[in-house]
Amino acid sequence: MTARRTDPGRIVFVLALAGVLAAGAVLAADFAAGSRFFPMAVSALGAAFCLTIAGLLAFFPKPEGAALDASTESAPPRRAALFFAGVLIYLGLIHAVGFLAATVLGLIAFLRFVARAPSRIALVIGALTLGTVALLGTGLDIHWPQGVLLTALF
Amino acid sequence: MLEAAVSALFIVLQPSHMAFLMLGVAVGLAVGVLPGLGGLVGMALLLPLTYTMDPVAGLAMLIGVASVITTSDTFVSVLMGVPGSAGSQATVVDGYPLAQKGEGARALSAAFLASMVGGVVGALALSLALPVGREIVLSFASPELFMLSIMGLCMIGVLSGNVPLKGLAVAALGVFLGTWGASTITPEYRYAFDVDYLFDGFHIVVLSLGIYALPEFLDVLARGGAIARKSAELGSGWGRGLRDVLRNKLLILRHSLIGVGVGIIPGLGASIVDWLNYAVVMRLAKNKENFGKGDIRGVIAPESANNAKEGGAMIPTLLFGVPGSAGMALLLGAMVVQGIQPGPRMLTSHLELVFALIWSLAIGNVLGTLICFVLSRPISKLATVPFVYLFPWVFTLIVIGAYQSTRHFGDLVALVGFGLLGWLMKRYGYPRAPLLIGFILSPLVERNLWITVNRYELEWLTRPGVIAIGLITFMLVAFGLSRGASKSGSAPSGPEEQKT
Repeated sequence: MTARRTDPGRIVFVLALAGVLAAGAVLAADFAAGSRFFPMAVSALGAAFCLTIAGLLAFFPKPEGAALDASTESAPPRRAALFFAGVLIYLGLIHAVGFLAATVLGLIAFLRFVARAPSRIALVIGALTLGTVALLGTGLDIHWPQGVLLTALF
Repeated sequence: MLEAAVSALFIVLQPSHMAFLMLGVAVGLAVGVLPGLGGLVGMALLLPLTYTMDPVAGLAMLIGVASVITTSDTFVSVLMGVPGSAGSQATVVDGYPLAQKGEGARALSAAFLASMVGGVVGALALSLALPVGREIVLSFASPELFMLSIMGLCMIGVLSGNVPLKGLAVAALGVFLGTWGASTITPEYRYAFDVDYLFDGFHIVVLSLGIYALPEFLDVLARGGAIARKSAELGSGWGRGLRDVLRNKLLILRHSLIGVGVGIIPGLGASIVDWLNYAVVMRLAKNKENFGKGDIRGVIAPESANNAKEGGAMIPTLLFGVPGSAGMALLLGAMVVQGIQPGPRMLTSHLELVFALIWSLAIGNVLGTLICFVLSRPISKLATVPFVYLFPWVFTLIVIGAYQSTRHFGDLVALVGFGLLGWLMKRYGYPRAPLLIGFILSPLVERNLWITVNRYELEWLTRPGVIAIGLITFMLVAFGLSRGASKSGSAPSGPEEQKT
């Protein structure tokens, strides 16, 4: 069997995990005596596992399978980047103009540019979503984030 | 014990509790029909609602979700040939050919009834395990409980992926994330970085929605169109399905018991129980030529087992505080928030609650089956709705669910961060269940370790229970690592070949 080249992203990801865990072990050294050992031991152990995986990926690139709890195919990186960029813009909007306004704007943008939904369906989805927001907001007594712009203006 | 069981039944049958159980069942049915969403997303969405509820009603609602996902996911598996969840992949093999022959209703009818029997057998097994488990668990002290948590984490890490090292690394990451925030041992904030959101650490709802819901949404959106691309007819044979079940009652019992056994072992998830039972029914069948072409036994066996698994998974969760699956980890999280400590104390101070959960599991399965029969047509149509139309509504629910955790903007930032982590884990073949379970178990493991070391010093290492559990853990990890090493040469490769 011809050995395949390992996707560099795999190694970068596991090294990043190892880095986070190793940083956790180092930072734990400053904690008080009673609560130092556990996070230090766990993060050091996790970092060791990650480095072993990285080593195996780098030196023995073998094919490997999906996790058993993955029931759908993973989205391609470009789609994922667009998705997370969209979600980050939505979060930025929430921070700026508040949850309700950001949700309305996000809803319009999504239905117009992604779903390309006919106006009647868009109206139904919009009403359903905003109705749910209003219902849960009242029922659970949630005070939505107001947004720095609106707070400054009013 | 009998008194507690009867008293719990009356509590569960109260109209308000039944209403919450029904809500859980309804959410479970809906998310089961929508492939990719899954029961965890449904449970995580309802989890914040349980915090202010009566514990029995709140936990019954979560049990309602867990009990019916593997019932309703049969719709898409049989009618559209798309696995509704990881636990219904094997059902497609014979269910879909039956639907193509015009016998979709027969396959569904048999699957629903087998699921219901499996679920009830799971609940029965759980209640029968209590008297036996009670004696064992009450003899355990913190060293044994600590070792059990370690064993559970190792099993989940080793068994929930094709590469055991990945599972172990992810479990360690989960435990590490669980140590963030206020320490339970000393008055100190760990890894808070002077960010006020981090003083309390991450919230279980944000973590579970992030690592499970966002990556699944992304994947279903990227695939485009409806969840199931073509509409399918139910066909005929509702009565025939019932007769199939009656004819195969011993087979259903056998596979329900296998399901319970698999559920007890932490880490052996829904996909394993499904394929394992399909393999067993094929191996033991005298007449094998129809398997893969529409043999009803190929539907009945995995469907009875995957519902029975939930009852089995609740045994280690309730008795030892070690969740058997990611769904059970969420249930455990809900209990902890309610101030209920799973483990030995459940069987002394919360016995009524334990029986209420068992009743909820059994009643949830029966209700779910009835609803599936009555509303089979509209439920089956739900999967043909384009996901882009459902996305805004479901995504908003996710955002509200996450924000409801601590009502801090940081919840939303953490949601996106965990979403990205979840997508990367999924893409690179890392199981996500060990992360969630490690996160949930982290404070429990740390506290038990602290008590153990301070109470017993090094003497705890010589306790027979500790040695026995330690040896079992060592053997499991060694077996898992050797299995992983031998399997990796033949396993499918890369994200492009992940099973769908």
